[in-house]
Amino acid sequence: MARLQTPRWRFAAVLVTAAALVALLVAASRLRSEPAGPEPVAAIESALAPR
Amino acid sequence: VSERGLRLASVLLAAAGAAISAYLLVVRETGGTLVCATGGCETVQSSRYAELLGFPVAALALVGFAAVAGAALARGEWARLAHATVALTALGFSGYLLVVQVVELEAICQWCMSVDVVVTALAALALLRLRAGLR
Repeated sequence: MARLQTPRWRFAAVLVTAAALVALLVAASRLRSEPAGPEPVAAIESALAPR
Repeated sequence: VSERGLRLASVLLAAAGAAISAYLLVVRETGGTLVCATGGCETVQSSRYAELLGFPVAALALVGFAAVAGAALARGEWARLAHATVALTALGFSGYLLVVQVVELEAICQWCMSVDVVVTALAALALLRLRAGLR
């Protein structure tokens, strides 16, 4: 906490916190936005099907 | 510019951003049609990127602008830090959404661009306030 008393460290803390929050938001957006893959059962049946 | 001026400008800009976000949210929830000169508003608003964890991104923006306004109204060191943190987070995420519009959706939403401009100005004001407080 003592380091946060200096302006440089306060500015760095703001930047790091904001970057972490942006990374979380982008990850949540990508998670929601990934196109859905095949249903699990369909994927297993497809993998086990005779060729 | 005094810190008081920076705080006042931040509150006014946050109110403008909140008004745009509220318009986008109301049109989305009522199923209306957006006024749009760029032609890509509906494409962007109906895309999967218009929602985040089940919540409309416009609602998230409303909360963000309220947080910026609250931090701008408050005084003290923690308020300056919170103001800059929320504003920079908004700037980063709006930059990501701008890239999504241009690269993935290939559609431009004028309202989203307006929010981007407001968010950029808010981040600049918050950084100026932070710098003034760090002296």
